[in-house]
Amino acid sequence: MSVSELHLPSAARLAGLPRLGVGVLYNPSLQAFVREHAAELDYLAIIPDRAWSDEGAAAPARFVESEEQVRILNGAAERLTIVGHSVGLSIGSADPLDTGHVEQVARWQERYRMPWHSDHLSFIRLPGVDAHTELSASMALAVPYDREVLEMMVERVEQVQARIPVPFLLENNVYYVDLPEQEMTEPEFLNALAARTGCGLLLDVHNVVVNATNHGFDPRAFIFALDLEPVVELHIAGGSEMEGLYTDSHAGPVARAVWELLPEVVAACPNLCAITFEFHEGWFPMMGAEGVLRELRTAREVWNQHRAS
Amino acid sequence: MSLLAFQLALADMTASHAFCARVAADPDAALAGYELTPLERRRLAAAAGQRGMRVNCSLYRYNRITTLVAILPGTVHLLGGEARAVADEFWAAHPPDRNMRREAERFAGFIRAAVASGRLASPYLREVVDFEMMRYELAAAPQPGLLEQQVETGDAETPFAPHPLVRVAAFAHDPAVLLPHLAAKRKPPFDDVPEGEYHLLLDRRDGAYHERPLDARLARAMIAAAAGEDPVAHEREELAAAGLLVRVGPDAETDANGRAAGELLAAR
Repeated sequence: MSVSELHLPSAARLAGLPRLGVGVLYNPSLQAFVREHAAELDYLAIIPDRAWSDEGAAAPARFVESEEQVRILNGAAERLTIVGHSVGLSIGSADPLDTGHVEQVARWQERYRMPWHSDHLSFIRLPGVDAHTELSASMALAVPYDREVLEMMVERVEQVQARIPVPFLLENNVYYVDLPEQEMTEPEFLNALAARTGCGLLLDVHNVVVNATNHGFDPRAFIFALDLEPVVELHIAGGSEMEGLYTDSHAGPVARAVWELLPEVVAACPNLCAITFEFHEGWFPMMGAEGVLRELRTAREVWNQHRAS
Repeated sequence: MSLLAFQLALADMTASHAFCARVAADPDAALAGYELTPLERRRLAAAAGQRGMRVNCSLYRYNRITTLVAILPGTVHLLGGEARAVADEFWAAHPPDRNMRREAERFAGFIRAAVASGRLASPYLREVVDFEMMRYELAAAPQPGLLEQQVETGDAETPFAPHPLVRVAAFAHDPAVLLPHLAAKRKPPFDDVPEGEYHLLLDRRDGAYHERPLDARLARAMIAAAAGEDPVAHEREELAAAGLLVRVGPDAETDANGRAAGELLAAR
């Protein structure tokens, strides 16, 4: 993709993406499920970073892939479209962009012909004390929505888009701490980022519900403050209580508040291509295959009602 | 530098309830080591006292312990009521590594040192942490070309070394009794675990992961070969015939950090 194409309006770039439907974010508990219930899935979302070990920039071979995971994903890719959802880019880290990670994602995009790929609007990587140490914040932390951060992000998104020839989506944050005196709201920040770079958005509806619950705002107002044209994928999930707050723990079935919002959101996103159910693998024994299928079928009803045509 | 300093300070607060408390009580003093703008300092001071910061601290701990439990479940189980204090001690000295294997290796090293110094007294810890790290390396950790490794046959001058897809774990307690106790999450002490010299062969030569007991005489020969010593002829021939010892050529497969399989085993 040429640089000039990158600056086409989002709608024009995203309108040609395949309208996939309903899928699930792969975790190791789903190995047999994907084999046995592929017909219930329109695509499989994967976290590529879970299939490799990042040995660090100083290692002779930085990204060491798990042959077992690759074999499983290759089997799934024979039957299903694969969509990538990375967790390791850390695009919000205030150190140089991790171009090695971008290269690795580009290799995987090419391998599985992913129609788009996504990551998070947050930071997790921290500079190490030496070339052999790569530190982590151990959880994704939100960036402050300031113009300085926006400028940094715009440059990085453009670098990613220049290397990977499919749309790049960023996911809205979940955050538990309110940082005062931010220059923009999260919707303003995301709208500006998408408008300036042409990137797409992965709207995690559960993240919105979590933040709205904890910080006392109307989730619907948040969603409709967003420009919804760049939204390509939705995430739906459940959560749980911790320390008196509601967390994005992906605890089992989709939260009721997410189901309540979903029809209106699906109807309002003109370029929506996918609804992805994500849950923590520890919940599979409780939900079972039937429980996962129930969530997928409910999502499919919404999809069929608002998007199938 | 300022945004980076802000992120480092926020990450440090996420890693420590105690640091959050210091920031909440006296932000200027607690954050003096970070090159922050006044706005960033105000933001961190506001964050320090929020309930959400307690959630961040809890998620930090949850995410780090999850890695250790996934790789070293028996080790963490054996720590029992001390697990929280030991993990805190480890985390205070070792910031989180993005790489799961390195994070687990560092924790394993920390446990070995604590056992050696007498800080941790469980008689099973040392052998279980060694075994679980070997199992992870062989059965779960991504490694380049692990299952496709072709052992280069060196010439007669090339010393024997363990096959890259096997490990030998040494136990001072019968693993056939000990490991099921750990898998069932039973609490030590275990009265029924015989003491003695035991070894398990961890083997992935056919692609699948297997464990089986290994005769002490052969296990000692394998460990000697891994350390670069030449095992006595009888054991060497027996192990070579079983494909457990091989003449690894100069281009032998190495792991992601450039270590040959022999080095991995000898490093224990």
